Amino acid sequence: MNSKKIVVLLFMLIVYVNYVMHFKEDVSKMQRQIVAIESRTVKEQRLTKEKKAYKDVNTTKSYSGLFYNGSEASYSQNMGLFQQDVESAAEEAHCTVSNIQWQEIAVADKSWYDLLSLRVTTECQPKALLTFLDNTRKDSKLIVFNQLMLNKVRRKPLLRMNATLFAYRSKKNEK
Amino acid sequence: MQLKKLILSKFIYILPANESFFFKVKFEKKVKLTDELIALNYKKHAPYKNPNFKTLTENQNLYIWFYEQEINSKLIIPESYLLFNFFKEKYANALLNIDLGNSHCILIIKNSLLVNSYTMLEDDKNIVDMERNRFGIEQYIKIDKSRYIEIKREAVESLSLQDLYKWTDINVQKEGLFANIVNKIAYPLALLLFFTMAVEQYHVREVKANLAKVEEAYTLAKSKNDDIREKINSEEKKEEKWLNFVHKELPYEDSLTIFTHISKAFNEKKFTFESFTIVGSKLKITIKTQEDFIEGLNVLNTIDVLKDVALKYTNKKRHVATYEATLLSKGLEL
Repeated sequence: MNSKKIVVLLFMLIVYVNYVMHFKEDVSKMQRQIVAIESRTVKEQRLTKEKKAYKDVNTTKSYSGLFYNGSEASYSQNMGLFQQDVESAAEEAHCTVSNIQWQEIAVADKSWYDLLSLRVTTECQPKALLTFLDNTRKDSKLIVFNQLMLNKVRRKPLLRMNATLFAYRSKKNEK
Repeated sequence: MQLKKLILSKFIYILPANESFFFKVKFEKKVKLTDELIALNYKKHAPYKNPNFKTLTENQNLYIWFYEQEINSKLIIPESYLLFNFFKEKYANALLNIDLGNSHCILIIKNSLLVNSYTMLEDDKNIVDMERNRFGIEQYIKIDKSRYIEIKREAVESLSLQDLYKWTDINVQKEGLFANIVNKIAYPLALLLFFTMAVEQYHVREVKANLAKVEEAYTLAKSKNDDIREKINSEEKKEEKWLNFVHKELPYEDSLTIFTHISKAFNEKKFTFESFTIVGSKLKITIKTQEDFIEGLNVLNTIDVLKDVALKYTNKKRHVATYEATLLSKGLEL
């Protein structure tokens, strides 16, 4: 064997192995980066074109009225409004509110909203009950029936509804 | 097939039967002899002075074809073997007398093995009879010149790659093979490695330059939207906040919708609700009916928003049954 040739070959092999192990850069990773950046650039360019449309956008504007306004009224004032709304919904549906009870005040310091809770007992015709439930949904405020119990009243063609109703108050004016 | 045609047309040389002398040796066991040993042992049988020869070892038989003039071809196939190879299946025990034009070729095949082959200037019936008696062969085939030309062409075309390989002169020197290979490939391989690294580095440089260009374009495009980015981020935060609210506070469909679903499902069935309760994800219904209680279970199972429907209590005397189910977590869509 020609020793000079062997030395050259061995030297090149060592250089190549070191190059592969330590210096070779991951081209496919760079190519993936290029594709990702290009896609982000296209998105930015599209955003630039449609910029005017985004200036006045308010995606959650329609939700702002769902909560009782905590910045203008106290917790108990909001509870009073909530009770009024429930009573008027029942009255409109010709339901009799026999009992209404404020649940324990649950104020969460860290949350951006407070929970308003009422325990309500009403009696009405079955169809009227559905109207009452429907009226609470038509109201601009979000009212949630958390616990719902319906029973037939003895010897009367009436349904008794016992439910825990939830509503929500914002701690500051949410727009 | 293309490769075979190329080999047949460019590299093959058919050694004419009348320009060669056939000699056969049979060994007791399979042996492999070098050309030097063959020349030393069997050269004396050739009718030429300083003959060249072509050999083939098949099983325990050594076939030698001596010829006078040196031929510069890597693939020499003796014509007598070519014709034998063509006829050995068809005439396993036969004496073939082939008219080559200016001479006659005698092929003696016994048990599909080539026993002897030679050429005669004249067609001598006595010699033919003598050979048949000598080898105990009854079948005698005579082939005229026109048929011979046709057969020769067919025989060449029917040669398989395996047949061609048998006649190639490729001698691999095992001794010093590694050293030879290393000597031959050392510089080209070193150059190839260097070239590979150089090409890869060039490619990396190109990709890096492209990446920098793309990043610059992105930074520029992004800077144009800086004025509304805060607005978009705040909108996204607000949306996320509302989504969290829905997931936390409204995990199930509202009670009214569930009540409506169940009422509709029991429509036109003879069931009367005694009580209907929803607490969290648990639903409990007490129903009065003259129907089979399982029917009520089947109806509840058809409602999409309910799962784990169970018949918890029945009183056949009072015709009352209590069912329980779990509400599917769904949430409201914003």
